[in-house]
Amino acid sequence: MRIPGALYAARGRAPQNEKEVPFQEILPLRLKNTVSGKADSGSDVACLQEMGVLFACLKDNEFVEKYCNKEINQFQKCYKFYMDRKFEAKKTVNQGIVQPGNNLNYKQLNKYMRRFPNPQ
Amino acid sequence: MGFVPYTTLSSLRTLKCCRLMSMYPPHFAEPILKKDSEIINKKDVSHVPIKAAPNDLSDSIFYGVLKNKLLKYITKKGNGSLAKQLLTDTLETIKRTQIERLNLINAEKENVIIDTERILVNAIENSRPLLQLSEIKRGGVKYQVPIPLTEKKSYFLAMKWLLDAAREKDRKVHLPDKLAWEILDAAHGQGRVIKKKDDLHRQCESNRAYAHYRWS
Amino acid sequence: MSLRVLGLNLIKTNRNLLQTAVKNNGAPNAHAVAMAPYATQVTVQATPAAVQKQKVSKAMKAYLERANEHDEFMKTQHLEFQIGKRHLANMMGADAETFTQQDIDEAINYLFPSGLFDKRARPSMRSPEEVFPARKAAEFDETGRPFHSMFYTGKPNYFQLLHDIVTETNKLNDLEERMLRRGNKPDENQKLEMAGSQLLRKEQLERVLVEHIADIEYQNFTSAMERLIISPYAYKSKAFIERFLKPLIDQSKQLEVPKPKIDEQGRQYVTTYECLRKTARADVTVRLPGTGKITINGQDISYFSLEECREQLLFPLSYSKMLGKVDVEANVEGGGPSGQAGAIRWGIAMSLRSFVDQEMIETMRLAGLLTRDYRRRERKKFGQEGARRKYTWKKR
Repeated sequence: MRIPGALYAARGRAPQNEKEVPFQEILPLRLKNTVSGKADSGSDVACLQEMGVLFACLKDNEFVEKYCNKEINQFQKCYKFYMDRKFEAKKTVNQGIVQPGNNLNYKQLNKYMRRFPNPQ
Repeated sequence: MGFVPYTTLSSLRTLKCCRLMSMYPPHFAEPILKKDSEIINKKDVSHVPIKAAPNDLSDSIFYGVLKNKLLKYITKKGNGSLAKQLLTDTLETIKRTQIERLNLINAEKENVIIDTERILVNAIENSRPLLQLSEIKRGGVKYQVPIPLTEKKSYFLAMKWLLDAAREKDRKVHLPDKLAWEILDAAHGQGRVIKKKDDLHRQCESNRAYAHYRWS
Repeated sequence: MSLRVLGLNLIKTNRNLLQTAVKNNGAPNAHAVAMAPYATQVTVQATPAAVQKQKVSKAMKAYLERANEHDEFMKTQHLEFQIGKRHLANMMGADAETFTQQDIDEAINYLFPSGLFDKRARPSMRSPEEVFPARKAAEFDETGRPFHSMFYTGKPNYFQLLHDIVTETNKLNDLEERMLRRGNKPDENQKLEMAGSQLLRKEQLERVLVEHIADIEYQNFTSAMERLIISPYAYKSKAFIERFLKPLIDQSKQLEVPKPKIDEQGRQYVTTYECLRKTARADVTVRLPGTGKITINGQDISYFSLEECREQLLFPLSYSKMLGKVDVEANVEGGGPSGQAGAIRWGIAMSLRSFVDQEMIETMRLAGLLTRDYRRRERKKFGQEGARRKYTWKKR
């Protein structure tokens, strides 16, 4: 006689017997002491918003720059700030020199975790 | 474990550089002319060795940093003295034209700039682009992506465009004349160079949708 | 030097220890041989611990051999140096006892003139301690047990130094905290003045440590030292810090300003010989009460047809506001116009120092007028189009 599948579904699936299927720890149930640098290499995109504002202003004023001095200044300041930060980072952060703060680069994180590893 | 914040004491560090191409060791500083010397702290520089002044540096009233840079862009095959001659001729032509204009105009004589250096600076400032288009390949399609320019690069482009426009014109006219026209045009906010810059800005604007494609 | 002396002392004490050990070993043996042929065995069994201590390890033996050899070598070198010094003194007609290193250098320069470009390739005579680098003393005792707990790092001195720096820093940090609790402030007058000094360079540090260190290790040293130095109480461990500092020369007082002489017309004058730039060579005379007359090889400033070169000549004069107050005479040879102008410019600037005040000299130095321009034409390289430019790459 055919038993309708709905009957099993209502009861729910019986749990596996732990004796029959013993748990295997294939990967250690512990976080690694390193992080990969993939996500960090991130975007080079900077000052998108300023660029948008600048474009809007330029379009409104028929691309005459003298009416958009404020926007232009803001845009250039933003880019300069970004480039300076990048240059500074090249000197310190990317070498993994640890600075106080919560915004850490992957190299800095790795250095930290090497100092304070997960308990074995 | 005590944690000490890291600060760089640049004066103390003797970092090893990658490969030094210069004859001077890395701790040598660039020469400082008198005008800037009021800003710097004398105590800091008293121990710093200074590079020898290059042979295009001088304290004469005809010396200008921007002018020096333009001279180097005009130079072809190392003939610097010819370039200097050309630039002097250019500035002379500009001066002549401006004085002529001054004499023709009856009213508002203050609006005509006779100072050639100021005209040159105005022309270059006016023709400086803000953005640049760079080609980026994504999924087999090439996109023109607007990218911000550094200050140095924008000055370079402005001077290059001015020179290119001058060199492109009728071959029977000498370069100083053509360059003088271009510079005067640019200083007044018109002419081919300004148009080129505006075109570039227009293109950047039409490609603004791709701006976030920039990476690497 | 002190380290070297210390090392030698260490070697000596070690060797003494060893010799006494051998003697101790040998003496009872002689007695034992007289009494019984296998006495040595008996003693070994009787006092195993003591004898095991006296056993000399292979490493120690090899080291001792090497050290002896080196000592002998240094001794002969020293002897030869003394004899050479005496000979030189005799040749120069001087007293051998008071013959200093400077005298030696002068004598060698006089007796063996050399046209070799590189100064290191020219003949020289220096004390063997300078010529042969210092060696490390024994780092382990006779049984092969290392003295230093960090012996197996391979660079015990370096790591010991790092430890020392950190202990010093921690001490200062504790002090700062105690002072803060008490409400005291660091003494501003005693603050360490770092502008005139610099940390030892890598090579110098290596010489101090008698160990080779990697770039990253040097970087660790510098950052540790910086952490120590920025502490507000750094002056408390001044003696420690100064061991690793090198004073910088005050650039403005580096060169002695010549005293002007008086010529037959009663005018002051200074002559600078050997003004070099590129391949040009000049000598420049500047006379003080003058009218601004410039003479180059008997001609006036029109000797240079290029405007830039004339501008270069006038640069130091106008910069020090001496234009029209001095006369300049120059003789130039070799090189092209810009090189000659550069040579004369340097000569004028150097001579002008005698006629202006100290502050003006400093501003001239900052403008780069007093620096000798050592840049030369870079040679063309084979396989390249020029000095730097490569040939256009062509696949085939």
